[in-house]
Amino acid sequence: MLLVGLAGCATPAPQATPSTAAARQDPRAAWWVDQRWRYANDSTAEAAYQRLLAQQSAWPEWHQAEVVALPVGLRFQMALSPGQGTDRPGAFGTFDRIRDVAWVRRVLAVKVAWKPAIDRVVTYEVTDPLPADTGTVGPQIDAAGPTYLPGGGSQLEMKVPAADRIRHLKVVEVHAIG
Amino acid sequence: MHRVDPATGADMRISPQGVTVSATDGSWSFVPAPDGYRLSHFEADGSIVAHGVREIDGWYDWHFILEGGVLRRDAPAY
Repeated sequence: MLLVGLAGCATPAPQATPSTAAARQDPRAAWWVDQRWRYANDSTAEAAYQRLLAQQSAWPEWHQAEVVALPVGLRFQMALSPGQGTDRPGAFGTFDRIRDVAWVRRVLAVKVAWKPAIDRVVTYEVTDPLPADTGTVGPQIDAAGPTYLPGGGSQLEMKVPAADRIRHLKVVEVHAIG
Repeated sequence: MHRVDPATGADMRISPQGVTVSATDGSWSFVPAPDGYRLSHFEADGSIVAHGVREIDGWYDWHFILEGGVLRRDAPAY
């Protein structure tokens, strides 16, 4: 009787919410499971999904950009491509420990097209105050797969010209990952 | 930094200012970096990472692909 009563009171699942099983196979469905709740209705959620596909922002939509000066002594890690010198850092790093390439893809939401191969992790230390935006990695839909990359790790985006990035940094350690 | 194009055998050397392509017949050409970009390095797929002085769609760094004697902007570079 109690079960029947609870079932009668239960809020029916919205039609637009895909099952978890479907989400495992469909990147859009997986995005929907994680992100639909942020939007007032299905149409605004769909618009957000289309913006992600088109603009592929590295930041979640809720991110409020604010450039701060990262202090001297602060350390962060960065995934490097084969052939990418440690003196040529990309714009993005993380305050998390980079575990392996799969972690880079999933938690840092690095699409294959953005970095086709990854072979090393470098730890940098800030030696001169470094203007950067900091926050949480936004989700991505990677055409490779296709795959939903949930993001959720920490990230920083250096806000200095590329040629000047290394002038704010020193290399602490480099190691290979697979 | 250089790379041999697996399709043509041409040797491609990049500098911040552009790509020098040396063909197997001894001829060569220079493809300048797109305006506002400095070339950095080759990726494993043969694309070239370049750093821009201004953002496009929120990204300073982009992959460029050498096609028909020009560098075509492709995907953002992380």
